[in-house]
Order: sequence, then C-alpha cells, then structure tokens
Amino acid sequence: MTGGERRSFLGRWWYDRRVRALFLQLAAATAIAAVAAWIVETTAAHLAERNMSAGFGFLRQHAGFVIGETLIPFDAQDSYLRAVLVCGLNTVFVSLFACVAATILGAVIGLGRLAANPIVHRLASLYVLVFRNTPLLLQMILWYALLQALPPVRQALSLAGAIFLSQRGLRVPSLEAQPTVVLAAVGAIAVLALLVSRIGPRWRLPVLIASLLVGAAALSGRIDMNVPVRRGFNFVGGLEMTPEFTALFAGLTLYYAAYIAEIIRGGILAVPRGQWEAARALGLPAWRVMRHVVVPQALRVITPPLTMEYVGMIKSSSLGILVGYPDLFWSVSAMIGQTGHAIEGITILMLAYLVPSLCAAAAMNAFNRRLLRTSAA
Amino acid sequence: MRFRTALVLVAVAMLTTALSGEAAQAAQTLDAVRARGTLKCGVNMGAVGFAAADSGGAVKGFDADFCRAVAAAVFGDGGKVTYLAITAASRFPMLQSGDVDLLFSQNSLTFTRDTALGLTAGPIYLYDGQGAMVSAKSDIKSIKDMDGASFCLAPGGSSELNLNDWFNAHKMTFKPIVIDNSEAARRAFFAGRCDSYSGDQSDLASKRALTPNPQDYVILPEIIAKSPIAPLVRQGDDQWLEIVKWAVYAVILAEEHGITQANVDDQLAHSPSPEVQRLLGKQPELSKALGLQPDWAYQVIKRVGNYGEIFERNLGKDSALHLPRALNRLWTDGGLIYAPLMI
Repeated sequence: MTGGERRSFLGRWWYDRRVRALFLQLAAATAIAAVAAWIVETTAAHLAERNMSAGFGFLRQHAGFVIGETLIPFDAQDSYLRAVLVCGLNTVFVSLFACVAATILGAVIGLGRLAANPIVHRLASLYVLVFRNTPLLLQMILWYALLQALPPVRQALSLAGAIFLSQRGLRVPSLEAQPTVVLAAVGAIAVLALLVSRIGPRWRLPVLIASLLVGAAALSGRIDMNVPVRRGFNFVGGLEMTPEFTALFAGLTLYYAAYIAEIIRGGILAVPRGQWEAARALGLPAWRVMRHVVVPQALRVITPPLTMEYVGMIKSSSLGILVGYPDLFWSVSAMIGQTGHAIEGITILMLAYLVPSLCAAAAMNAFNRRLLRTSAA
Repeated sequence: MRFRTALVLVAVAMLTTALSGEAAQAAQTLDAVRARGTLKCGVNMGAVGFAAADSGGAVKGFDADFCRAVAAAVFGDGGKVTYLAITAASRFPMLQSGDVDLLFSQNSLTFTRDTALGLTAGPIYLYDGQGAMVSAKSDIKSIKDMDGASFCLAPGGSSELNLNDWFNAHKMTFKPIVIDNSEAARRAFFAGRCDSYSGDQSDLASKRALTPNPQDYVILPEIIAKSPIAPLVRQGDDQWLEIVKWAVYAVILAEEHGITQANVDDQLAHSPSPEVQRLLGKQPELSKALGLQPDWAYQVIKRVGNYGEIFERNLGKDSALHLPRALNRLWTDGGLIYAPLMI
C-alpha cells in the first residue's frame, strides 16, 4: 500500500498486520489476566465477608478418617494431603487396569464384529448395542447391586478352599516374596527376553523351558503363598477384590470396551481392501498380513480416538464415589464435608483430573507422531 | 472481527461476574426472607422422622417442624417453607452461598462447623449419640465384639471420625465403607455388605424404619460419641440467629408451661402466669428486639405445638421410630431440654 500516500507513524503501525495482531493479542491477554485477577480478588473478598477462611493450609491437618482400601499405608493421623494422594493412587490404579482390560476386550469384540461367523458377529453387535446405549452410572450401580446379591460371607462360594466369593468380594491366594526376589525375577525375565529374541528360532523353545525350570528351582521356597482364611467377620490374607472396586472396574471396562470395539473395527475397515489383497498376493500368512500390513495402518486411525476414550475413562472413574470406591473424588468430597473448604477442594480436583488426562493425551500424541513418522518412512 | 467478538465476550463476562458479586452481598436474612415470601430451609430429605414426604407430598418430620416453627415466627404461617434437599457435601456451601436461610438437617455441632466455616449454630434441639446397628441374626451384643468388622457409613460426617477415635482408643480396627449417597449406603448395609451401620441413634432408627422388617435389626445400646444436633445459620447476622434461637426456645418454654397446640388459645386468654403472657405476646415491645410480630411465639406453638408434641409426633411413641425421650426430656423431668427465661 504505497501509492505515494503519506501516513503518520502510528497509522503505519496500525496497518502493519503483524504489529496489529501483536497489539490485539496483548490486549486480549491483559483483559483475560485482569478478569482472572478480579475473580480471584472478588472471591477472596466475599469469602472474608462471610467469615470463611481460604487457602490450602488445611491440607496439613489430620484427616481423621480411614480409607477402606489403599495401595500405600494410610492412617487416620495422616494429613488430608496424604489422603488425597492415597486416593489419587487408587484412581490411577483402577483407571490403568480398566484401560488395559477395556482395550483387550474391545479388540476382541471389535474383531468379533468383523468376523464372518454370524453368531460371533451378532453377539458382538448386541454387546456394543447394549453397553454403548445405557448410562455408565446405571451399569455400575447394576454391577454393585448384583455383587450384593452374592451369598453372605459365612456361606461364601469356595473353589478348592482357596478362592472365595461372597458379598464381601473375591478373595484369591496371593504370592508373597521379598522385594529383592521380585527384582531379581524381573531382571532375569528381561535378560531372558533379550536372549530369546537374539537366538535362532530352533533354540528358542528349549532355552525357554530350561530357564523356566532353573527359575522355578531358584524361586521355590522363597515365595510364600498366602491363602485366605475366614476369621471373625471376614476373610483375612490373600488378595482382595472388594465389591466397590469390582463394580467400578467392571463398569468402566465393559462400557468403554464397547466404544473401543467400534474404534478398532472402524480402524481396521479404514485400511483399503487393496492393501489386504496385495499382502495376500505376496503370499504372506494371515497373521503376518495383520501384523505387518493392516495393524500399522489401522493404528494411525485408531490412536487419536482411543486416546479420547482413555482420558474419558480416567475422568469417569470419579463415578466410583457412588459405589463407595475411595478414589480421588471420594477423598476430596470427604475433605470438603469435614473442613468446608469447597473452593479449594474443587480446585484440587480439577487440577488432579487435568494432569493425568493431559499426560495420557501427551503420551498418545507422542505415540501417534512416532507412528506417522515410521509409516511415512 | 474475531478480536472484537472476543473483547465483547470478555466485557460480558466481567459484567456478569460484577453483577453476581453485587447480588451475593445479600441484605439481612430476615428482610430477604420477607421479600421472598418463603423460608428456604435445608433438610436431609428422605430421612423418615426428620424430613420425608408423606403420601400426599407434604414434608413431615422433626426437622421439617422446626423449619415450620421459624416460618411461623417470621410470617405467622408455618406453610411458607421451601424445603431444599441437602447432601453431606453440599449442605455447608449451600448455606454459605445463601441458597438456604438455615439448616435443620441432623447436623452434629462441632467446633469447626460453629467457627471455621463462616457458620454459627443455634441451640441444640436434639441430644443424640452415635451408635451402631447390626443384624439381629449376627448375635453381636456390643461394639467391643466388633474388631475387624466392616461399617457402612454416611459420607462427610463426624461419624467416621468418631468411629475411628473409638476403635483407636480400644486398640481395634474396622473397615469403613463410605458411599457418597446415604440412600446407597443404607441399601448396602441392608443388603449385607457391612457388618454394621454406624450413625446417630435417631438416624439409625430412621433408616431402620424404612426397611420392610425392622425387627431384624438391632441398635446396640452403646454410645461411642455424643451428637449434639443443632441448626446452623451464617455468621454475621445476629438478628437472624436470635430468631432461630427463640423459635426453638418458644416450643421448649411452651412445654415447660404446659402450653400445647390445642390449648394455646385458652392459655392466651386465661393463663395467670406472667411468663406465659409475655411469651404469647401480651407485651408487644418484647418482640421488637427480634423484628417480629408480637404474636410470633403464639404462631409457632399454634402451628407446630410444643417440644414434647413435636418429638412424640415425629420420633417418639406416635411415630414409626419409637425413640424414647431419654436426654430430650425437659430439665424438670431429668432431661437436658432447657430454655432461657422469657423476660
């Protein structure tokens, strides 16, 4: 825009698109910051006016309550902060297991939907239809109610006197070993895996069997089996799966598996028929067609929506509060009930759900980028 | 264009926040209630005996009657109450933010609730204690036999803390099962998920009354902690606190003087007692201190009756709960129910 026209200094700046964009963005950012500061200040002023204390200092007080199931020890003398961490760990725990289980189940159902066998196909379709079209909360409450209908603890169903199923949950024997033994075993398995992948196929099976025998011999006597026994009001020992955990886990797994099944089915269908046919024409066996041709291409389509389901699963795990599973939401609720610090509690909750969700999204995005790079190469 | 839209949005957001900020600085509660024409009372809806809808949809119960007592004092009409259902997590924020004018919701009074939350308590209107309910078939006779037992608990309350303190003091352990929905927690217990349900004994009786066969459950006699049940209002509005206090005292004074819902008119006309005369409004200047009509206490008694009547109708012998008056007898009968002088 020259045309010999003379503009003032400011005018020239105003008509420079980059400067103008910068200016407007700065103005918008300032306005947003001002609004945020103003909201915080107003809230603080109103809290003070209502004689309510604000701040996170209360997190250091004794929680005073006990938590039904924990992964790390928790005592009523511990702080609210620790209660939130312990229950946050429960959220991570149940979400992680549900993600893995839902993916496996979803893959099976998704492949079932593609199967030529009409019975398998129909059953898989029915599963998706039912589980995807009823509310998750309803399903969870149904599982919890069904678990309540199991026999009472005195008449627990028993399998071989070691596995017990009752209203109070499932008890299975647990293997207990020193941490050092566990570490050594994990290390040995890693070395073995490396070895097996390096040696020729002819030697794989004998090496595997030999090392399993050696491993069993080395571990025998170092691992104790802890079999549950009924004592007093409930079983003691062994691993416990409480009805609360089971209802939440089953609810998340079965509901999200239906969605994941559809994502996987869609991903596989998105691979052009020509790719299948070309791979078969090369004489590749069926599983190699899947492994080397279809799955890598399908994964590109599957990964982004799958990420959304994982993130959704983490967030939905907060429904556990309605079946009494002590998750993050449960602990913050209890804390708000006792201290009345609702604003702080909700802030903690929002941040706490934001972090794992963003982490899951970031991890899946990284995986997706790598996938795009490798498939492009 | 897009920037302009963003700026407009920001301006709108600022304006709405500013306006809501203004609205939150409510006038005095009494003026707000009068202007609204109804008292917003937070109750534990569904708790039989305390606040539950009957077959006609009317909310009945001990807490509901005290809500009506306050409404009668303010409006001369016990019907001008809007009952708002609270949950364990929402009750205090609802009061703090002005969604309700007061709470009559089976709250145990604690130091924190009386001080740190920006709330303050009216008089204790029910002296209760925390106990445990078990299945009659379990043959449990005492909480001392319950080492390792599981307890269903209502969330967010003081009952979990009390139970923990008691088990610690007795070097015993228990497993809590806390479901964030007192209805679901109740169902879990009656389905057999827990060995016991712990809570205020009046609340246990209320929960038991809802089951088809209440005789299958036993409330153990032990009390592991006291439960002083009191109404809560916001701090900083002394006039409103006085109104709530004296609505409660009025029904207690009525019982002390033998005034009932049925004979209140007769007492007003013929009672020779100067205190009864003052209570029922024969000295109009007394009521000015509360900012109410001279006949406020007459209206309270006329609408809901005296303390004994409220108790027996909702919790005692005329109810499904059949609770004994125990500590909730008048001080003259050896109980703790006691009110200041009406002078």
